[in-house]
Amino acid sequence: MTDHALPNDTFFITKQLPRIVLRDAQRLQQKRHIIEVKEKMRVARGSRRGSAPEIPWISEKIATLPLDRWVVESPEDGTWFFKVVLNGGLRANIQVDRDDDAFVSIHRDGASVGLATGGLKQVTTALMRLCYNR
Amino acid sequence: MNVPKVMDPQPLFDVMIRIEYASDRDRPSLMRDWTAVLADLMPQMDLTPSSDDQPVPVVRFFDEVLSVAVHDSMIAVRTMAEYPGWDTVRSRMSDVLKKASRDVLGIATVTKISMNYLNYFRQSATMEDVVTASSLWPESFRRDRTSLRHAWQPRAATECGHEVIIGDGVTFDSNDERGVILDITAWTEQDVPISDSQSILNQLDRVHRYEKRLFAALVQPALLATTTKEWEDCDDD
Repeated sequence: MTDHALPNDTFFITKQLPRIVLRDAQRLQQKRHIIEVKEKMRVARGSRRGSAPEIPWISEKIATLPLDRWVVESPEDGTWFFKVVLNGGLRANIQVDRDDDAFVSIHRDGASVGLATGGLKQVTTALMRLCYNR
Repeated sequence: MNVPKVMDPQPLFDVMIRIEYASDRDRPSLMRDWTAVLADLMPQMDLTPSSDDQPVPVVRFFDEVLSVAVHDSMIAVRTMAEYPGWDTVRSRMSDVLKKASRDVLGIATVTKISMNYLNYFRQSATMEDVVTASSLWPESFRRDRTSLRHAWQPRAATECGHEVIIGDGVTFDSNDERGVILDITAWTEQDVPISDSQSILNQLDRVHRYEKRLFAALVQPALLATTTKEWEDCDDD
């Protein structure tokens, strides 16, 4: 891990705790992230009617990223656009649709760092690798 | 016994139900059957990534409310995000079990049902703020500890066992107050044919009631009183 990228598990343990409590803290952190992403996605849908079956799996994948600041828009039904700043300052624009067709462009300090296409799982994995410099 | 029905803030963050079963059938045919059962009820699926705890990726079916992961001799049902309430979870479990018993999985026996409830009490600095000084842990044992684990084998009266883990001093960002984790697992071990979905549901209800009573007995009465917005009666078996 590089010194400018924080791990995604950003909970703080103030005392020594056993492994099982650490695992629980990771589960809680994961759930908190997912709930936050889902809520913002629902807001982004606005008054649009009908179900959005893609929200559960998209929110799970986005929640795995070490998000610092981010916004989400849904320009049309089933299409999602995330503009994110990751811990460490890496910026990314992620577009994904209901059919899991995803595209990400990545920037740092105004310069392009890379592009990735594929499924959302693939592009978030690519993003994580860049973020953690692996 | 009165137990919370609606709480605000809701401390419950994650619920996982495990149904373990034994079968003489081979793994591929069981996987095929579970896929047939679950694909109808939960049209989305993926492979959960492997991890230290889970070296082999697991097939998972899910929707807005629940996910069902199919392991070799167990299904693990987990809430997707916010806890939707027991009535919703039970109704969905009923759909899965009835379809499993009716359609394909006739030759299997459920051997163990366990339910894990993970609660987080924010703005509670120490475990003494959250749990009562009950007889579960002697005073001398609690002193200066930041986590405790208590396991109890099933007793004849309830046929349920439990494991409770409490940890304090956990915070999720630098602005948060420290919080306390209360992780409760309750289980029962009964051999029930998977074709008898009603009996399995009855066992789920039994474990759920046991867990609720345990939760209400563990949490400080003053904290329960301030956070519980609606109560319900939860009878002993």
